[in-house]
Amino acid sequence: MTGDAAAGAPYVGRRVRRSEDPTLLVGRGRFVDDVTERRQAHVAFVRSPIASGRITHVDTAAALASPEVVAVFTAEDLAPYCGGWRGLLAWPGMVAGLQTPLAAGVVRHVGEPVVLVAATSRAAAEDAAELVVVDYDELPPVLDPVAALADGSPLVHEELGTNLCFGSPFGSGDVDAAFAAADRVVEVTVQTGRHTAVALEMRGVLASFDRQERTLTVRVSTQAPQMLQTLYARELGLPENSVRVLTEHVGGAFGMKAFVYPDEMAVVTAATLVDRPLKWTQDRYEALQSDTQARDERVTASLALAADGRILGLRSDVVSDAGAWSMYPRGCVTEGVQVATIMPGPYRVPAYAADLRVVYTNKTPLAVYRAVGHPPAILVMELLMDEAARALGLPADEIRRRNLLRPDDLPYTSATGNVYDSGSHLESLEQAVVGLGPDDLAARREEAAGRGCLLGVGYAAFVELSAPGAMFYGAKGAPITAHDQVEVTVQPDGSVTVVLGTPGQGQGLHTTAAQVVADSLGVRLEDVRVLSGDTAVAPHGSGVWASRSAVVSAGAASAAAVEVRRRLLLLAAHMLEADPADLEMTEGQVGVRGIPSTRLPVRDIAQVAYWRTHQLPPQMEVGLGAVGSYSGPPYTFNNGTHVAVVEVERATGLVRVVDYLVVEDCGVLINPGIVDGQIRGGVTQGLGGALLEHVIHDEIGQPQTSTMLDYLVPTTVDVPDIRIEHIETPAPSTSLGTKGVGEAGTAGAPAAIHCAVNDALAHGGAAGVWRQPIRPADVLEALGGAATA
Amino acid sequence: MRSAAFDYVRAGSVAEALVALADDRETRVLAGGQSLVPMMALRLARPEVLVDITRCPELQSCSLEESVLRIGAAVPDAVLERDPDIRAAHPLLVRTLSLIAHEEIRARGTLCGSLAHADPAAELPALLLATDGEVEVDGPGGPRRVPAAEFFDGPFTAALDDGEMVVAARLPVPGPAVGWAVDEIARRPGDFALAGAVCTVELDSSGRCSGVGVALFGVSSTPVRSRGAEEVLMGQQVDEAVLDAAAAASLDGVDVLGDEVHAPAAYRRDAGRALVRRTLAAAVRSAGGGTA
Amino acid sequence: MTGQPVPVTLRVNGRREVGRVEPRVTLAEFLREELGLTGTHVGCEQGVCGACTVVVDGAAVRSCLMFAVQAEGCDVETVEGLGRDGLHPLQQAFWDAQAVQCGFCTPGFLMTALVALRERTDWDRTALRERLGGNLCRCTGYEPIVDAVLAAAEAARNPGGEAAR
Repeated sequence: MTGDAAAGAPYVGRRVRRSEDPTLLVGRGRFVDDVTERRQAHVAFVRSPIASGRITHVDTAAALASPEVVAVFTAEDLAPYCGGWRGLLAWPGMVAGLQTPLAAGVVRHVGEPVVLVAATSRAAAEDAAELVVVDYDELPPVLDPVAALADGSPLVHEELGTNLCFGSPFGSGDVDAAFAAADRVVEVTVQTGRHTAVALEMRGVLASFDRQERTLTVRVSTQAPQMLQTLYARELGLPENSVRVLTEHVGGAFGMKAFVYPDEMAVVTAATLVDRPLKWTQDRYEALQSDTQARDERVTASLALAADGRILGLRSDVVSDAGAWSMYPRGCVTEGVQVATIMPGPYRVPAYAADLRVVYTNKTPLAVYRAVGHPPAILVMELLMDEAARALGLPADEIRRRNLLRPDDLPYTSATGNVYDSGSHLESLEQAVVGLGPDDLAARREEAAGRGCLLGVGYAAFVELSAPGAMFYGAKGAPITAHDQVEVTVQPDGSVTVVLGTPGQGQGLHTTAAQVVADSLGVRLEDVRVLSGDTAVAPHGSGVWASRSAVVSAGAASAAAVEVRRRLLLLAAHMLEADPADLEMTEGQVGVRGIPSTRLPVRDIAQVAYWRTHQLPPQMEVGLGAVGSYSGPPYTFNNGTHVAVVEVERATGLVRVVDYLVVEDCGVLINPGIVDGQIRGGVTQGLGGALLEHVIHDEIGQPQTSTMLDYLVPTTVDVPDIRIEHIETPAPSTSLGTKGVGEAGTAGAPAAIHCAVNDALAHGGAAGVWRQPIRPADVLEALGGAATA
Repeated sequence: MRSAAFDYVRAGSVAEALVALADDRETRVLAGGQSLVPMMALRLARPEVLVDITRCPELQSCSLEESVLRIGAAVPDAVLERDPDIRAAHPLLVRTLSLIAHEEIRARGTLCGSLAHADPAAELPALLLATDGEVEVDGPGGPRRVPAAEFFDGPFTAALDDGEMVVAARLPVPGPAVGWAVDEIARRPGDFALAGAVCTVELDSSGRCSGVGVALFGVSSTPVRSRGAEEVLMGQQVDEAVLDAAAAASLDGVDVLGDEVHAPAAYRRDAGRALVRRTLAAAVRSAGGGTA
Repeated sequence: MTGQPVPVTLRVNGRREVGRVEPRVTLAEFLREELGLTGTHVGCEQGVCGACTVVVDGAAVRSCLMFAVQAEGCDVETVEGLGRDGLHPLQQAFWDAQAVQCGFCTPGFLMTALVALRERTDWDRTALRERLGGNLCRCTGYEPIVDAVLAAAEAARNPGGEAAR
């Protein structure tokens, strides 16, 4: 279990225990709120209680009069120091409003920060925030993204003159001809519920400013510290080398902590204006109103089929509810774009036409969340496949079998231009069909029926885009790099220090990077220590996003280790009077190949390199540290098939997932335990999306799900044990053969579970459910309101 | 999310608690705090004086007196659940407790606190109502007993006057011949119920229903007795058809909640009836009835 | 003025602690801010997520739903009290099973599991899932946590057995 493989065997591929865990297990993690600065003051926000309105008057006098209050800031107060930003990317025709740390004149969603109050304790800050008076002229809110496009709709951003943030077609091929030639056409209209990440550690900032040095230090719960370093510097007019961003432990992020948040920017700006550190720790009520949201997609799609089940063409119409702002710097269109462009998935789709509209509404901003756009895209495609199967009288696996990419189709360019260079698209389905178990489904359905339940099976075959390159954001003008750097240093005693550009934050990146370095360098795993999270000393990293770390961070770690190994071997060659090409290095020992007696420990080489350089030729490079860099390919797709088995209780409509199988192909596995952890956690979030999670607003835009009693995430009882099988098709385009996997579970699960529910309903003679989350009420409605059982 | 400031009084006796509750400022009783403290954190509740009654010795015990289980106001649910005497005397109570939230909440939450909180989706008020229990109240006007049917005035509103507190609950113990069942539908185990039912059924030697109590929770603005179901069953030889009829009538006269976040009204009706059907059948079975 | 600080005395991980706190300070806040025991995490402040679970007089409770003054005279155990000489068997089991990802929920799970294993060690998988149902994890999908607690239970049942090594 701890990976006690034979000496010399590679560490990559072994399920070693995580080096991160002991600290976390004993309660010595350092999450933002765990760190205290002397004289820190605590921030609370006055937030908008309405979805849309003009601020007519702000009175902070009573709050300022409180003896415990340190400072109170309004938008006007901060404007001279931070002018704001537009979450605009270079998508043709995209528009975005100017966002400021505090709402300036207009509020556009419930929970938008309006006034910042700093006091000697959080409780005192909340007390003072209650004393701030803000008057509003309430405006009719824009809540339905389709109605928002009609003439005469109120506008979320008057200055933009439209609620349409971005609209575009995607696809290629002659779709009209495909539909004209079709023997069958099936169509679905699906709405996926608005989600939010619910990272258990809420967002938080601890910011301090040295007025003499003009240096800013910000400890923040983020996925992308260097990105924030750049943006804090830019917004506040500081050189980037005067901004230090610290990120130690991060308690979940899932895409949600990859942005410049107005409230965080307000704290950072305010910290430059008051003479003491400011800490803001978000509470859950704030989180559920201000963390980015996701998945609010309305999709109508149709599939043209030949009589034998072959796909001839695909059409989709996607309306994405962006909420009030395009969050900087990733913007709000990535989700909609991926819903449109990922939809053809692992299938041969010769012609495809998508129409995407991303629309502003008076809700908390929509942005990227684990598997960005994949869950709705895969859901729609898999529902279409099942409808096609029913229409043609084919089994669910058979219609997929007839359309999935086969090895001789690869490399394959999808109708939206995505290139799949490798994978196991059909093979993963076949393995999943076998894994589902012996063919006793009929008996299982009968047994379930005896308990008043309908049993259903659902498949989801998918591809997931991982580790995207600079075309994704950099080329669109966002300050988001696609490459990472890692520094590897051999210390005088032979131990190895690795400093990651991208911080580890829960996925086990410190462990996987150590495995890669140990192999690439040729040292023992226990001699490698990995650090990250301080932009003052770490090399550059783009952060944790889009399933990139196992490709890009690991690639950079390997590159650095290979360079350090080269230097070690040069030194060793000199010391052993051998040709470097004849040397090998494993387990921290260098030797001449084939001569076991020549074992030179790394420690001995390091001591010469550090302290006895006089023994070396003058030109010899002695530094035993190197920074490696890696940017990877434009992207790499992993693939797989999920199978869900559900039971639907006829009397109550409750759905229980009773079996779940994942067949995943993410190329080379660095640490199978960590990969499986990513998949299980991902499936769990996908299950939440399919059955439980939903941000709900009432008719005036008031969120109805502002505590975790109402926003439902899966518990131990909702999630089954998940069976995971791997196919390892190495990525031909990445340095280690790895593909990303962090989001794959979330990508496939909503579709597999939804298809399983609809299969169960079909066996009960009912039509399907066409929304997520699938509530018990939706199931009963589909069953025709079963009153008694 | 921090509570507004309050003063804290740790009462050493009911008398002390009553004195503290007589304060001119807004006072609240604090027992387990598992419902009150979240509301205070959101500042939806903002008492100026919190009177902690958990250290009052006379509220810390339970007793069985003439088929009535008397439960002191400071006794946590988890203590009741584990008490072997209570497990033996009132298994319906123990089963009902197990449906409440999670173990860590029940470790501090109290039965009497749940009654006083009067959450319409809570389990224990419905149990009190189904079994015709009583609430012992003390206050400026002296001690009094309030029958369950008169205690739940509205959502989160119990029939307590200013300065009054619940000192105990009196739960009649179902006799050995009484069948019972309790169940609920929730999105996730431990969540508040979308619909729940507590049933007791007594059958005579010929299998006729000679006593029945059905209370619903989570379906209306207070826990409610299902007179419709009770009337259908009473005096009847219980069979499938009678159970169907009882379930069909179970919401007659019940003012079902409108659409809300977790369930539309129609769902509460459909699922509520299905749940009544299921719990009644289980209660009849446990009473020795042969059906369902 | 309402809400003036009051004295509180309690035992935390076997050590007597004395403080003066506003009555509105929760036990979680007291442990974190006054005692510096930041292993107890606050994830929802509504008693839903379980991250703040600590043991008070032997029972696992939500420290966000309890004011510090209510713990007067109580015996409180936090994650910092586990395994002060190396990892506690539960912590070791969590490590072995890769039951940790971001680690934010972990202390709460450990304290819940600690009490569950004091109650009994013969948990089956289904019952244990229910017993842990009040603690939320957003990363692991729960399975390795359940595996870890079952492994610790097995080790406790058979101190010399395979699982104990």
